[in-house]
Amino acid sequence: MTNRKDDRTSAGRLFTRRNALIGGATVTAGAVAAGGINAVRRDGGGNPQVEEAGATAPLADAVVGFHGDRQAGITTPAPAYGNFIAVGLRAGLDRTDVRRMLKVLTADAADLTSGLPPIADQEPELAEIPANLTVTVGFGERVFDIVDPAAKPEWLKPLPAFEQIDQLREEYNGGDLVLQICSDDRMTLAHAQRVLLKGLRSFGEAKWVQEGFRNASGSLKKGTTMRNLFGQVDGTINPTTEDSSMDEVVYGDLEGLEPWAPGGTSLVIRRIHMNLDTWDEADPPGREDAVGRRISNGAPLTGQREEDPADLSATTPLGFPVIGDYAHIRRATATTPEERILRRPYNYDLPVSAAGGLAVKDSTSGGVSDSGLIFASYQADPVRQFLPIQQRLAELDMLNMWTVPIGSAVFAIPPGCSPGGFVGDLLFED
Amino acid sequence: MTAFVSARRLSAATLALTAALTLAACGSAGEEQESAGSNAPASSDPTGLSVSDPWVKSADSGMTAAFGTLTNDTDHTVTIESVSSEASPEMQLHETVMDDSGVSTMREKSGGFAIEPGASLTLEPGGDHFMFMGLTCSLMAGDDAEVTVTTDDGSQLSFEAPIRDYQAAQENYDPSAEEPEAGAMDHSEHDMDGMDHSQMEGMDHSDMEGMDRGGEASATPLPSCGQ
Repeated sequence: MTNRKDDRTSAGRLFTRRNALIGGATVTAGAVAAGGINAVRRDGGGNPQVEEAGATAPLADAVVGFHGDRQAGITTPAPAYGNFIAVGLRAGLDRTDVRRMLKVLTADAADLTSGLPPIADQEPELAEIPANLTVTVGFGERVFDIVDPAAKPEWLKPLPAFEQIDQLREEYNGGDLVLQICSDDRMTLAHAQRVLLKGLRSFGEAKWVQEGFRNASGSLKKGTTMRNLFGQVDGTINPTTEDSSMDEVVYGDLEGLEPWAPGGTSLVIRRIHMNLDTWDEADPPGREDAVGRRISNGAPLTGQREEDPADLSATTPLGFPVIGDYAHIRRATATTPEERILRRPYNYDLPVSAAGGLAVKDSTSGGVSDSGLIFASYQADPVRQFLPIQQRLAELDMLNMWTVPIGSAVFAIPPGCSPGGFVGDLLFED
Repeated sequence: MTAFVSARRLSAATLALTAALTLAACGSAGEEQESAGSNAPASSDPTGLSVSDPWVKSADSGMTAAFGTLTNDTDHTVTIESVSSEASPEMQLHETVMDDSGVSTMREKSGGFAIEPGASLTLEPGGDHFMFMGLTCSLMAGDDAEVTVTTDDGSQLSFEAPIRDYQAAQENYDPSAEEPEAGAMDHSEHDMDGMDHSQMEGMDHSDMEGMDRGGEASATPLPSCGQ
């Protein structure tokens, strides 16, 4: 209790608090300050004295605003760590129960993302460093079935089986509720996850937890596309908030698309096992041929820079396509304006006991690694936008040689909420 | 007279600092500003008290407790003489003190909680608290419990306290063990689950099954207070 009050009355914490209030899903001054400090360090040219002078704790006050028309954690930059938790709701929960659950979840998430300990936090000190923490909530079918069946989006159901490639495991499929918790500090994330799961205990249980990571905060320049554990630049041609593409793709602001709710969207999570042992058998030209991009910088094989558009019609002197018919980027290329998605994936790399030998093709075990990608994509309508791409990739994509989907889930992401509301409150308006 | 306060973060300190930030925060329709708005008349509240961060531990029957911080915004001592809630016909003011053998003991606070001018009373698990002696309905996480405090001049302050599941604060208070004069009482509270302290002998461990609901011992959960 005393801690809570002290937090609010310290200058630093209030600075954070105010930012949290102003920001609706925006990265606020903490992050800006962090950028400035990095600049100082670069200017220092490695002079330890200068680095020491700038050695503050830039993540300590790095807040991504929680409240707003849209939930944070989607168009905001992806922090270093991202955990995805699917919750199975208890049998017999009614509308009132779900409402109570969402109120607790929202209140705790709003506090945690502001760097404040939620009510009854028994380790309040662990809540003091937000480190760009975001908590994004999504609904499976059951939330709608309980609360407001008429509001359930038609597309909210499991994706069709892709029999050519899928080896789905029930332990990574589906869920009634999803939490995406991201932070640049693994400590912060662990505490936030525990607090949120404690709050959910009387309403359901975690069905699966997928833990992911990217490069550490400060390792890459802002805006750099991440790499996956194959070493590939992964996420080129994402929509951006710098033009209208993010609104079009994620929030359905495009003719032919309609968001299920204003400010709402969808989340597809596919857990993709990546066989690093068989990937090791591929030489650099083969790796680039499989994707259609250079490994070094992500440029298409017909270009020089990552942002260069791929020329799918280019041919070699012998008349073969430069970017193969089977190349990932050719198969994934949008054939209509709707077929675009926001990819926001995280890598995973699980500990392997008795690690040794080599994994074989299409196997998801063996070898020295258990690695892959938590493919997470946001789009207004997964059936219209994501599914056609996935169907083409299932039919033909050289990368399927080395990858196996082992989990699949679709969730509806409700809009953000105002300080007086809660996530999902639109389903309770009579 | 009853002043009704629903916002969660109401304290003089928060108010002052919020006001200081108003220039910079101009235009934000944030929670603090709403709080500031509803808290502005706090000094003119009939009790002269303001409350911050109130909450109640969920329970589906029996006893439970309310926590939070009450601040005296006046220039004279204010004494909380009683507390009440529709969820429990009887509520008590409890303090936690060390008895002669050094054991932490919960007992009813005789004479009420006197709060000096400008001072705060912190109610927290393991410390002072407001005790619901016998719930008539379930206090369920995510709902709010209304609590009313009455001060020595008869004025009242009501506030909504969010309810949360909570594993500690196992306030199983046994009034039958109470001595005629206020003194050391039987108690069994404030012990973390699994800490095998001898003073837990009075505690009913049959409630372990009910822990998943965050509640105390309960053969039959009562209907929700919120319905």
